Amino acid sequence: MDEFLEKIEKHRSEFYRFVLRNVWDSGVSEDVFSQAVLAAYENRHKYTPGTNFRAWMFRILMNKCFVANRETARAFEPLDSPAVAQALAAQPEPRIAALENPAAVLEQCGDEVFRAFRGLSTAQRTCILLRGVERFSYQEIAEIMEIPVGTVMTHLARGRKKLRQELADYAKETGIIREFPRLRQREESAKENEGKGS
Amino acid sequence: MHENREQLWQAYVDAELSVTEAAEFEVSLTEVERGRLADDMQFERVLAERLSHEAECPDEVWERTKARVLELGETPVRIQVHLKRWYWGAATLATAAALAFVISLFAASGGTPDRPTVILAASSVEELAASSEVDPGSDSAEQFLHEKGVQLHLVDDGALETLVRHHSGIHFIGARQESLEGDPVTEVFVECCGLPVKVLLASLDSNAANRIGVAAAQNGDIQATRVIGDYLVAVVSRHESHGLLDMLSE
Repeated sequence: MDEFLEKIEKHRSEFYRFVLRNVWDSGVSEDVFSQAVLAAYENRHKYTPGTNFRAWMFRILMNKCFVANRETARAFEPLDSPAVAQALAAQPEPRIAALENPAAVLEQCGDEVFRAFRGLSTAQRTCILLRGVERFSYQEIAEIMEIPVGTVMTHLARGRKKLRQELADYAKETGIIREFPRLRQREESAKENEGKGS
Repeated sequence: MHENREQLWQAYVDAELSVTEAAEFEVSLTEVERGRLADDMQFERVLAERLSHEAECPDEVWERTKARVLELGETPVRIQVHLKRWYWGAATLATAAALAFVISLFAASGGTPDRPTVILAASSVEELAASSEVDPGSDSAEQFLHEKGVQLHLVDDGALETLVRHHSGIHFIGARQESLEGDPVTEVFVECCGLPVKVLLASLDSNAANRIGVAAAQNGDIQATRVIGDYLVAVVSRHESHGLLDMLSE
């Protein structure tokens, strides 16, 4: 088999997983994946041997996902602006953060995790997947997405916050979690005391 | 939480801090914060596991994809290999080149089934302007692209002038939709140094894109090609102006 194709095959599950989790309509994931592989193959002469092949491929995959989701690079919000930073700071802390063992809640949310994840923007999903699942550094993600590192961090923060909020709401609605006002009150007063102490 | 503190928190969770920075950050944490930080890290770990779960590429998907790649990839590569052999085959090359040149001169006036007009250079700026479906200028051309469902963006007239070094009088003179191998091809017309240049856009999955790729390998009037987004973009002209590929972006 072609050496270039062998390279893609070696990482095919990583590439497929990225598409599967990133396109809004999971029914088109096979097609998007195939298109990305075709585009990569046709442009194989543009890949410089010895450089990061995975990063090169993820850039193509990401572009295909943006197209499939009918978003463009121009749809990136200017998240570095002070106005957006203010809006972010004003967002309430997701309730799931105040719970003990949020990971256990996440486990109990079942497929709701995927639905909530699909509710994020393509840029947020891309950042979370590249960081959390594919283990790229902020710098590498910035290079893949051609955006500043600060914007990567903002996409990550905003995406994670939104995801937690969605899951917390779902967990509360379905009885996976209950709110414990006294526990929360205790936690808040402990925080206040720590603040006074420092 | 303070904005800077929030960034440090996130960078710690993502293991982006240096050893010293991480140690300093840990010292600054309260007991409650330590617990929250551990929860956050565990949350991210479980989330990554969930997103990775049952998401392997099925064998049949890979086999289908591989077949498509091999099917599409073969034609141009074979032609290129043959061309290389011809180049080094000495005597026959001169004859073939001379023949190709003569044929291209004839074809330029009208095109043939072997060499459709779309992939041939225009003979004059006036010819292009007369066949345009829109008025001159970047706004009209960009609007035309959008009407045809092309999700790419054009530089404006001012920026266009800077794309091809040592050339002058570069501007948009129109656009048109044509057909190649049964698929639509959008053409953007540019004048450069008083000479006509066509920039073709064909969807990557189309037969038209494949045909353009084959034509480019045959050293015709196609000067350069590039994949931009979901499109194969090609510059067609007898005037050296491949820098015009930069006029399109995603």
